Amino acid sequence: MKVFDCPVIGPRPISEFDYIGEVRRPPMDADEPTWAAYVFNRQGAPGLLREWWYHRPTGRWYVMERDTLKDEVVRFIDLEEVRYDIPA
Amino acid sequence: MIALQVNETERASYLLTGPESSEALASAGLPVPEQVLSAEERSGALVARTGRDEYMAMLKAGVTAPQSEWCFRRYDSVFELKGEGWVEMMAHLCQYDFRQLKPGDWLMTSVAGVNCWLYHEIESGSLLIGADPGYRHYLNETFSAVLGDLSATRNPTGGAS
Repeated sequence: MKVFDCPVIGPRPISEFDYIGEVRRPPMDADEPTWAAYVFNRQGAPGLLREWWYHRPTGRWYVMERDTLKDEVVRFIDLEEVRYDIPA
Repeated sequence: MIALQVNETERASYLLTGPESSEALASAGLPVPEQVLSAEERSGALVARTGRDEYMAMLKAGVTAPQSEWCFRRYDSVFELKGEGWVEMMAHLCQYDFRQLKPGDWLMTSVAGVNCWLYHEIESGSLLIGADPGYRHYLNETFSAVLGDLSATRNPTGGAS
């Protein structure tokens, strides 16, 4: 059993979580090539990555900073840090 | 020592959401837990805080239900595990280490693959397990099967002595 060490609710089986992917900010006013890069490309290099995780039993979303090389959660990110406004 | 038992128990469940939810609970005389993912029980009422403005209330018959525009009835199936050895039984059903669950603790985790809420009752020491009613039959069958296996292990019959 693989355990996901969540800084908020403690160590839980990773089967209780859904991995949603990297936290990203859309390039709102960018040109088409930038948008295409945003849509189709991802950072694959190992290192610190901010990721969305969804814990199904509680129905709660978390943003974690994880070292993808060591597979260790470094810290919990407050959602205020990653929120952005969508242009009207 | 009470033998381990699993029973379904009747609780009227409600989900309250929105900024007025804590007032609705308070005006119905129900407890209002302060911490997110914690619960409080008081004379037949169990209330858990599941979010900043979200609560779940599980009420026994006769307890006043909260009234609010954003108070929704739930129909959770609630099981009660009581007696010695429920920690051992849960070890067969869930990956969480229940030795660390203290009386009064609220937990939301996966039990036999089903998303459930759990509460360790303070007075009775029982474990309450609530889940979507669609899983009622499956959980009933699974609990009975595990209970049967544990009983068979404890009371072996026949064989060489």
